[in-house]
Amino acid sequence: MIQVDLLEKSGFKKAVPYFLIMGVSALLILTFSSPGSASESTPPIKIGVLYPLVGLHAYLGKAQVEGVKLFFEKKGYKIADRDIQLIIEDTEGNPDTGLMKARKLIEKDKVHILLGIVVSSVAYAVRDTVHSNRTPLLITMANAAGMTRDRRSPYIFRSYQADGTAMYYASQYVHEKMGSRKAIFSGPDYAYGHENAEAFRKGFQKSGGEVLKEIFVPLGTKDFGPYLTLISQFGGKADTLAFVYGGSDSIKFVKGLDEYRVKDKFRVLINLGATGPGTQLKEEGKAALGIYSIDMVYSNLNSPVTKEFLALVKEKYGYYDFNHHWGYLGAEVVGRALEQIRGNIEQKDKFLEALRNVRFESINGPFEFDHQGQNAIVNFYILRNEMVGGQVDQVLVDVLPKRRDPWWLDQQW
Amino acid sequence: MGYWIVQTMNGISFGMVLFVIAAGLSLIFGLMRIVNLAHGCFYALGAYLAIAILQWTGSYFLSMVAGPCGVAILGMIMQRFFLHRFPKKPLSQILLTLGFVFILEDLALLIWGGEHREIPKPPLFAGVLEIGDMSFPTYRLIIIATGILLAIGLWLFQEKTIMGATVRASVDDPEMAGGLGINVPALFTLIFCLGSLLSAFGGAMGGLLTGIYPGAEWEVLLLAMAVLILGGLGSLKGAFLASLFVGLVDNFGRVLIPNLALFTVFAPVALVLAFKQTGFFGK
Amino acid sequence: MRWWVGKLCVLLLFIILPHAVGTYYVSLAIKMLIFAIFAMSLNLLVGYMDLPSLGHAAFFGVAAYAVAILSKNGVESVWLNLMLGIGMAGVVAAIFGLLALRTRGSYFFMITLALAEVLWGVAYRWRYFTGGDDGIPGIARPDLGFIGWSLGDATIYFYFVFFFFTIAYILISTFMHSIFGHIVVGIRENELRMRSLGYNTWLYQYVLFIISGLFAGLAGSLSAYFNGFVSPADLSVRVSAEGFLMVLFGGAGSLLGPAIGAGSIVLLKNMISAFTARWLLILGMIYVFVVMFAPQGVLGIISKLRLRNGPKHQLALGRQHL
Repeated sequence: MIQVDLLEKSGFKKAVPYFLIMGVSALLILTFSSPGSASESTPPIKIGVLYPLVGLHAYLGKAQVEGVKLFFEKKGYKIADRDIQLIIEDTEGNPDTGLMKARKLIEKDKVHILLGIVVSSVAYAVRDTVHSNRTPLLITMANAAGMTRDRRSPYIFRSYQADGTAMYYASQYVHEKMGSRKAIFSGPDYAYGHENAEAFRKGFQKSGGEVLKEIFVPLGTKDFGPYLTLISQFGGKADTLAFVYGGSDSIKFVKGLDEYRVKDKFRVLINLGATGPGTQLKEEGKAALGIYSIDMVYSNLNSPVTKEFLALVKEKYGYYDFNHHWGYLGAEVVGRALEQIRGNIEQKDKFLEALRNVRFESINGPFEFDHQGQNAIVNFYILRNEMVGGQVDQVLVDVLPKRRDPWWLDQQW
Repeated sequence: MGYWIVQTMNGISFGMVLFVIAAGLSLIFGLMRIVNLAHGCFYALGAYLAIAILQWTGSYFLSMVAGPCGVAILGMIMQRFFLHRFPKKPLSQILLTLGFVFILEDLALLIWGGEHREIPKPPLFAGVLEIGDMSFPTYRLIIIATGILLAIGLWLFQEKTIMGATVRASVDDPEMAGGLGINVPALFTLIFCLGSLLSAFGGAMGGLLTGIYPGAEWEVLLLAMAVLILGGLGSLKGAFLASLFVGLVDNFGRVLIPNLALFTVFAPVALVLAFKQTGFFGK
Repeated sequence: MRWWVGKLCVLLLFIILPHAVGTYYVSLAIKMLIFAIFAMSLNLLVGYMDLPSLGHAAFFGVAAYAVAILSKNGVESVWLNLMLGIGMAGVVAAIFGLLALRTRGSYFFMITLALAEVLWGVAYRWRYFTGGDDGIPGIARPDLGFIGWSLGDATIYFYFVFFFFTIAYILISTFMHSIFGHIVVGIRENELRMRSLGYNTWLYQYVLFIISGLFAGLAGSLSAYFNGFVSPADLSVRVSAEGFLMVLFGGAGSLLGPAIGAGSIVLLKNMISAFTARWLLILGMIYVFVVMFAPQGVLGIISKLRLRNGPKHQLALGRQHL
């Protein structure tokens, strides 16, 4: 016979006080955390906001949510006299979870619009659900190139670059304007790094330059020391170092450039996304000096819209990070399209049309959508990190106006 | 030539940080056979506290010492009030410590945000050593020195002090040790505290090397476990040698054969587990 | 006798479910069932053999990738894809088992983790084949062929998954109540004695290891169709750890415990995260609570409260070896 283990008899009674403590603390946590803004009597326009709020992309998601909220708060959560309701969900940066949350927002909460997404695999995961449910989605950061190329949909828009765009134009710029002839490329060893490497190589070769080596840092690398040493070796042979890194990797890499004196070994160093204003520059400090970057964001843009936005962010949240831009921008794009159709979100085709035709001076400069692919057409700024008023900040070197996803220029891609 | 020397030293400095963490895990898992998945979280807390204390007081000494002490207290609470109930139950330990991992991870996210944070290098060690045409950061040398000193200190403690002998005796035969008047439960709590303290100190050191960010706690736990497996559980010498091994192999492996980056560490681990469980250097 | 009625009620509940709630909840229920299968398969290792595996997602993920790659390369039949997915999982289990079963306790824990990490690294790096970190999206759910029902419909897919859950449950239950199951429990209780009685203990464990992998593969294949994509996340430690939690949370000492654990955790995660961003914290506290006061899991609590009549199949968790 199979024996049944004797179960603890007294354990349960001991549990009661702990249970009470847990229950009370759970209640307190629930009371003080807000799921989103409340709405009023008339059916509100529901916008589903999907961002990673835990895990290693959490800091991106958090700032972008703040950016989104900032815009709608400015509008009093009302557009064309209709209430706006934000329903915020956590994707955890994980495609399975992201899909489940997207389904919840679309099928249960019946949102009219989806906004957000940072992680590319999440974007790919929700694509079919969004398309088959005919829910307009505005991607505010995920680079997943396919979303506005081969896997595009009339319902999917992106207010960020398609992977590779920035590096393509950067490669041509450094060749034409800065005399780069031989380059080294470095990036993380997954889609983001490889797609940008490919784009840089294509653009650079087209201009007549040569990429000597591509150095990818494998996943889970804690210590960048060995790679920086490896890159140093090419200092004599190449004049340019181009790199893309995000998050933790970016700070490790840039600090390493300084620690291992790599900056002394290359004439030009240019990057995408590794020396952004806010946390990155703060943590990198002097290590970031002298490095160029290309970005769609320039925090010191001499535009009243940008200045007002910066002031608002600092006032409301006490800190500033370039990720605030992406949430705010996405929200504004959606907001303007809604204004255009006077809030009648039920007329979906009209909304999509309005979205496609959105065109205004945003906090990042001029903004419009490419009708092919529905990716944003924006200015790209060439920036350089310098000491400004005792702090490391970005200084504008050049502007590449209204660039579109190069995949549409040259479909041999 | 300079290139190879620098790469070797890179590997050693990384290995030294690993050693401190693995030494802590060796005490907790190797010696006492307690599965503590929150060991990586102690590492993370050590780094975060170091940053906070540095900001507060500006003293590097305090940040490297007070932080780990604080984490040791947390370790004590965890062991004394929760873990001690499950002395030979790895499944319960896993579930319990995993619960703590979630709690600590989320609290860290709440308090310090999810951004990558760096511990600024002490100005005294912010220079470089020129080796041939390559540069090697000075602070990494200090890390290597610290690791070696700590290894010697721990070895002396274990082999040459009465305390060390007491610990070894209590683990080998707790009933006998209790019979001799040794307060075994208190001793175990103390060992757990020491293990947590080491992990947190490793965090402060590692924070200098690689900064701290969400996910670091898992990376570190996996590597520390790999070190213990290769070096043999409960062997300090094994942990030291295995840390160097992992540091160097990981380093060179990643650079020379980037395609097999994860293999270079986990393949030896799987092989050792399958064929020589006491590890390369274990008894 | 009474618990048969209980089970019948639950069965009826599941059958009317998709008609009573919206499509989102049906999707949630499908996810719960898929992970219930996964947890039950893991329990074969954890509960019945005292082998704590933290690499179970390897079988789940391999099957998912197999389905993804096959269906995107022209294999239309869902039955064929499922079979091949499960088969792949079995092959991987056969290979892993050879290495892993040389160890016990905490060593087993670590080697399964190491092997699964390696597999995950392969999926991440082998971009040409696996799509790298972007994964393989766009897996379509085909029609069931002879009946003409489209699995693309959430309700139909729910019944499809429920069908497999029931089959899995019946198969595992039958298997573990057979002589084979008794021998395996005997090995767990005292391997030396079983060996001295003439049983090839390693072989029994190896076979059960592969069976466990096969069922995990079933869950993985169903998951690939459910999500419509696969990614390295399906092979990750995260999934293995969650499976582990589900088994322990529900109660490793029984057949349905893990299934209940799986359902509870999927439900809890989704419900709590809708209310607060601090869901990880709350979940962690719940786990600590369960370990401290309900070591036999949720099912243990229910049994204690005598809400269920003594289930015939309750198997002890046994000594937890290190």
